[in-house]
Amino acid sequence: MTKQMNLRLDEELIKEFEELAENENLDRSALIKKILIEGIQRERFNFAIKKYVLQEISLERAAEIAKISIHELIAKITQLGIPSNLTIEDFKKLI
Amino acid sequence: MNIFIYDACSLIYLAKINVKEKLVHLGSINVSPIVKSELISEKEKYSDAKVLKENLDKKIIEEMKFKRGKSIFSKNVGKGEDESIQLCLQIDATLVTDDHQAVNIALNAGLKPKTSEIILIDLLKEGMISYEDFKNYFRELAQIKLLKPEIVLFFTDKAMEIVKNNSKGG
Repeated sequence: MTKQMNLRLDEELIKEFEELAENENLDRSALIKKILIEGIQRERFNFAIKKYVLQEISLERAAEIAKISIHELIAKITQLGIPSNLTIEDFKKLI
Repeated sequence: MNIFIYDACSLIYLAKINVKEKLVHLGSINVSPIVKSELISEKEKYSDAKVLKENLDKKIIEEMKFKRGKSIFSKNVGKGEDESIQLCLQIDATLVTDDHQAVNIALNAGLKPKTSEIILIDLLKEGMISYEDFKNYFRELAQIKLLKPEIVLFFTDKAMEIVKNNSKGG
């Protein structure tokens, strides 16, 4: 099911969309939809990673928020060079 | 026999460093239903997921069914971690998790969780792996988890202590 959403955009931005749509052989609304979907995914991922790095959420919770598998999240955080959120204090409590 | 409940990230890390086969020497390898589905998701895309699925099929890793209560833990942990903590409390099992939030919630709930690093230490302590093996496994784990230098040093010291104690004990 789709719903209509009205959005006011700057003329300059609309021009950018039109130019990009023409380059990519897409109609304007298809391009906007594509950018929105990619943007939402990116925002979800960035938000989840930020919360993980700040030790506010766990790795699995981050995967849930980012709506990706735990395998994909582990691969991405390794690729991004983000260290494990376990601290030396955690280990001292456990050993 | 010790019963271990692993969460998804720990089993993935231990699968990545190829130490999974040794884990049975410490106790049974169990996962909760949600963790099982997390482990095998995207099995076509990730080789670890494929290997873990094979282990589940061969019952090396077992899914432990249980009556899941309403989540009593923080929303800061995932459903799999929440389920694993609940399961450990119900059957008095040892939780293995590699996450700061999950470790601290488990500690507050009265559990004594372990991490992948501690599992390696336990394998060394029990003589299931040599010091050389430990160093190799740990090096790989540290690379994957991008462990901070102070953590690497902490575990290197612990391993040395165990080697010394083991040699004293004959």
